[in-house]
Amino acid sequence: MSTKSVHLQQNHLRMLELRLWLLLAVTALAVAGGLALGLALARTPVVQDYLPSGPAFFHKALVTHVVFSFQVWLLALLAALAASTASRPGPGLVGVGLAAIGGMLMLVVTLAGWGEASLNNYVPVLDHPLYFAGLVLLAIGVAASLWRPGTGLAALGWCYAVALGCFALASWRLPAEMDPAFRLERLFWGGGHVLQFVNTGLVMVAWQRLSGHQPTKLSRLAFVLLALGASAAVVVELRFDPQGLAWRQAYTHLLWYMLPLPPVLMAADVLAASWRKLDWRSLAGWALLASFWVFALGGGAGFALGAGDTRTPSHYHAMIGGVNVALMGVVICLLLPSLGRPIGSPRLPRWQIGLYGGGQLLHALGFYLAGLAGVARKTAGAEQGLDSVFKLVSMGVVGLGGAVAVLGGVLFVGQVLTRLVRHD
Amino acid sequence: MIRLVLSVLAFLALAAWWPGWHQAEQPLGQAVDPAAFVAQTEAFAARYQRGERVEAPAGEVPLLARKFEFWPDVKLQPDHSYRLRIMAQDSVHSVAVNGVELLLVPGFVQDIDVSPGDQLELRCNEYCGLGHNRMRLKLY
Repeated sequence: MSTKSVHLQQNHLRMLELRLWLLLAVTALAVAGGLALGLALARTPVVQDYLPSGPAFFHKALVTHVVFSFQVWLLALLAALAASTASRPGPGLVGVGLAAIGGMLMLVVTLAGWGEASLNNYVPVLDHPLYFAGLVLLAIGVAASLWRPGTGLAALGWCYAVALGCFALASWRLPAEMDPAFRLERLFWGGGHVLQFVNTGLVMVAWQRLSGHQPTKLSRLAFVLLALGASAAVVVELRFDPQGLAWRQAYTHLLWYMLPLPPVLMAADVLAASWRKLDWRSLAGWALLASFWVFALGGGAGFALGAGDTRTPSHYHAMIGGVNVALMGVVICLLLPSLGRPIGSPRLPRWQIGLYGGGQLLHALGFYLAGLAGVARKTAGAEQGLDSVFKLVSMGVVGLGGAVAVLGGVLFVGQVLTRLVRHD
Repeated sequence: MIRLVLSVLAFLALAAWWPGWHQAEQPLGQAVDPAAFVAQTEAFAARYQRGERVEAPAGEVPLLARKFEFWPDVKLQPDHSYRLRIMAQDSVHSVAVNGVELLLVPGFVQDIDVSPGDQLELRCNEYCGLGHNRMRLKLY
């Protein structure tokens, strides 16, 4: 086989891998959306009795909804970004297969109603061996894609390795006979925090690629500082007992002190380089702007963490929203065109990004205001204690923003899946 | 070049400021016989039960943190001083009061001093199961 034909075959496999990771990422969002419908059905009288595990399906569907819309979607997108530049597609193709099997295992466990739901922070789980096997396969699959030459994502690869190390260490250090809820919370706490460095790195890469701006010394430094910040997890693990309070608080403080600077540097670098050059009315500019706004709101709300009210969901909804809107922009503006499958008219994607970004902004703002007024997180109905007009209006804004964001999300999934599956 | 140096200095300052380097492990509180403390709390609740709530006199108030409640449902007088003595009964819980968090572990009692004018609400701050967010007690 000639060098040219080997090169062509490699390129074909690379495109196949990228397409498969994108399919996995967007399908994860579609499944998460389907499970969100399941959440509603699980609270509907009569209908709830016909669900796989009756009314208990609510918490099980909620767990997998979060895992698919957060972990699977973001990690598959991370792997897709790695695939878009990596030179050797082999490990990535194996990785996407493992990750897909992992996702299917988790879905089967959910639909079969197996395992108890645990709504612990970061990676909620169904306490069943097959569910954990699914998570492990997903983690290995993404690692196979990320840890290879030519991805240009070395800092994210390092942060991801630290996160997996934290999960493994916690699993070894926490006794199996502990109370399951406490053990699962602590098992995913440390690595879950470090995964936020990965997610932040993901949005930094997305900003850079959307701006079309070549890496500078400052942007490279931002990634180095991100990797250094994540590495401080080693200090936490060496100094503290994972069952103690100091261990838990040190990870919270890790995000407060080590995480904000790298994205600020990257945003400053991208803005300084692109302010006059970038067409902010273009789709990429629009996605970049929406991401900056939503991400900034989420970052601000992060300083109210630990208050136990709805400022916590305000923080994470806005952070995820800011990451998501940038990634949606990358998928539509860069990755689909690189596969030769661009979306024809920019009109619908523009609406989609506006609806998703605007909806997330409203959703998070409503949560923040409700939290200021004292509405507790993770409560519903009478438990919320909506005893003032301010609280009622704030939670109304939450609902309105959520509905608008969901509409934007559905439009994204519909458009991208159509382009990935169908070829004109 | 100046931007790079400033960025590194800012990062180093934040890293040095990070409490993870010097933070000490919080004490778990006074070690007690869990069964005896549960019995003491039950006796206290039975003695001061008034209708649906337990109206505690000024002084020491024993409390249990368990899935998913702080028990008994104590009502305090806003103009009295109290010392809340809390122990986790079943698994690890925690409580944050005036910005200070205390881990609640079975077999150890943590003390919280309540002064006149305080308006405290106890909330579990350590995920303990599906009812975790319901685990709260308004003390007034």
